[in-house]
Amino acid sequence: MFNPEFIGHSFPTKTVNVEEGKLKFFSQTIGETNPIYLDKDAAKDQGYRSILAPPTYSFSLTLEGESLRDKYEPIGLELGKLLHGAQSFEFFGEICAGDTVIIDSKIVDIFQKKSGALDFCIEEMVVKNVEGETLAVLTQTFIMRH
Amino acid sequence: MSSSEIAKLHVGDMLEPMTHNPISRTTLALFAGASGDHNPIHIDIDFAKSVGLDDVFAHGMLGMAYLGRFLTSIADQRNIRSYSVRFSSITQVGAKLKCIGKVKEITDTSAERLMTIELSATDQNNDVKLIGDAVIAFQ
Repeated sequence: MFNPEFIGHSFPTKTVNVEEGKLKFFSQTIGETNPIYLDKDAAKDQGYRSILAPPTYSFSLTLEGESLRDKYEPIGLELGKLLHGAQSFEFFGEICAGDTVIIDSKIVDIFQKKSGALDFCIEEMVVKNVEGETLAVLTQTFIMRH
Repeated sequence: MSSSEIAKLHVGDMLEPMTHNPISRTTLALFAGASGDHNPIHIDIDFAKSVGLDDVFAHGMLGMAYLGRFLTSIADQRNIRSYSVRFSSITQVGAKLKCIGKVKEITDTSAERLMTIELSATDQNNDVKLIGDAVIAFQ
């Protein structure tokens, strides 16, 4: 069970460098063919600083350098029961290769449905640039099946 | 699509669907590394069996990335204001996801004109795997 005492819990702020090679690998893996996601010159021709991160890539940046077990087991996560229930993104600016982003995340809700058969944990993550401007706000819903 | 092409769309219009290649185990292994989601439930059949499942299943975020490709084929990414999905059922190995979009609503704010696109991804059996929407600015 997710422990409701963690509602409002903030995880330590982290700083992530958006690495060009990793970003390209992600775009290649999802079958992306638009050169703005793969080629620096093509991205620059379209007015981007460098290779553009696809819309969902900020989710991967939030996972960088951490293990799901280390981060969420203390709040009650059992990895074998985990389902990603829902995911939302609000976008305020682009993320490109070479950027540095600052990520803050916190647990905003924990609750149960179906008499405890489904256990929910909602986490909000805010991704900012080094100037402090918000680039993306992510909300993820984890579900554990019991 | 260009901004002017998007401007010609009406509420209820269907967008040209995009179908992705079937999801292989190799894709799941690569996506685990590329996305940073190393949950063994997606890549290690022994782990999946140890928790009572018959097989591994695809990362929800792989489906969301495929649906995101569909979205960025419609709109310039700088014009996407939001993108949300619910993962309505597990996506199995071998699933061939078809991304579908329909114009749901057009609204005007003081700053820009917004289009809400209803999105879904279904597999080869027409089972819905992801359902959601995106809001794009287009004028």
